[in-house]
Amino acid sequence: MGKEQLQDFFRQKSQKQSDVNWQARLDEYLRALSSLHAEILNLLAAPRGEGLMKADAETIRVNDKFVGPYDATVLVLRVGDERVEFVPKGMNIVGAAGRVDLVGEMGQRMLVVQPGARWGLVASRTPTLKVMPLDEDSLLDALRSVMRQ
Amino acid sequence: MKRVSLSGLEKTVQQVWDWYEVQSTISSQCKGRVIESIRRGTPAPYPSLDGLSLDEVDDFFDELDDAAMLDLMAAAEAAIRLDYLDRVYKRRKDPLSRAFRRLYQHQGNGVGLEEHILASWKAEAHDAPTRSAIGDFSGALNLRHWLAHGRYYEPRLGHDYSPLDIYSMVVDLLSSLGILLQPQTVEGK
Repeated sequence: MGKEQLQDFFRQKSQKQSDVNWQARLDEYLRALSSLHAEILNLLAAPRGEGLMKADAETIRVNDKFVGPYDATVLVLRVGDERVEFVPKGMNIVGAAGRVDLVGEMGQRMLVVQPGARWGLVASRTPTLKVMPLDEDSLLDALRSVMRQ
Repeated sequence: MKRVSLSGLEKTVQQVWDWYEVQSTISSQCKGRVIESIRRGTPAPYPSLDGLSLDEVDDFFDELDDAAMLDLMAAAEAAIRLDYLDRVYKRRKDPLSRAFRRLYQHQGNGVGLEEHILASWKAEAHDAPTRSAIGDFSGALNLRHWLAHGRYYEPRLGHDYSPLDIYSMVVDLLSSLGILLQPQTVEGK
């Protein structure tokens, strides 16, 4: 009796597991991450061109539950001795398909993937998530809020 | 000296624990729905959690444990203080009650739980289990103070506590001190 119940228990569990294609979700998140980096570098083309700041890529290990650890790219912006990072927080995010945190000395801001693989900057998280499109103005506002005054 | 005006609204340790068990079950079900929404990529059932990572979802739901631990220790404190007042007001003749009356004459209603009441209990306790129960509870009071004061400083905790640890600890303590776990009646007015 107990043996059959155990078998049924794991059969049901197994069926529930198999209906999510985690590899496809991960591929999608990593593609969205590359597209975010390209978008940011495009927005920063002028200051980079003038040599006012530098952009580098570093790799971190992200421990996302359900898919296990994977490598992802951190975009690092440097101005003199100050740096800000766009740190991947993973794809298991409530109400979004992925998240990146913009981390500076003075604080951090959130970016989330919205439907259509569009990235947005979180203006406020509660009582409901308010997201602004990522453009020159919102990026400038975010950088000002996390970098030294 | 003016007596403490008692509310009669204190909760027993058991009442807090029963509340926690029910809330914990409900909370686990809610958390399960949030995690399922992440797995499915569907809208979350609670918009205020949008944007949180799984670790942050864990932290959010773990708040119940902290609230329960604070409430358990507060219920224990109420039971210990009510016992203290009962011994003072009824003018009992045992050594601890006499010590409490002396304390009351000096400290009035500003008597401290750790430095006065528990210290008196410890001085009068002659068996190792009671002294150990008092010591364990006193150690956990660092957690109580940290939670009660808004966690703005780095706590000095000997180890991590779970609600079950705190529940077992306060039941041990109150049993060792011979303080009833049920609501008490104190002549306070």
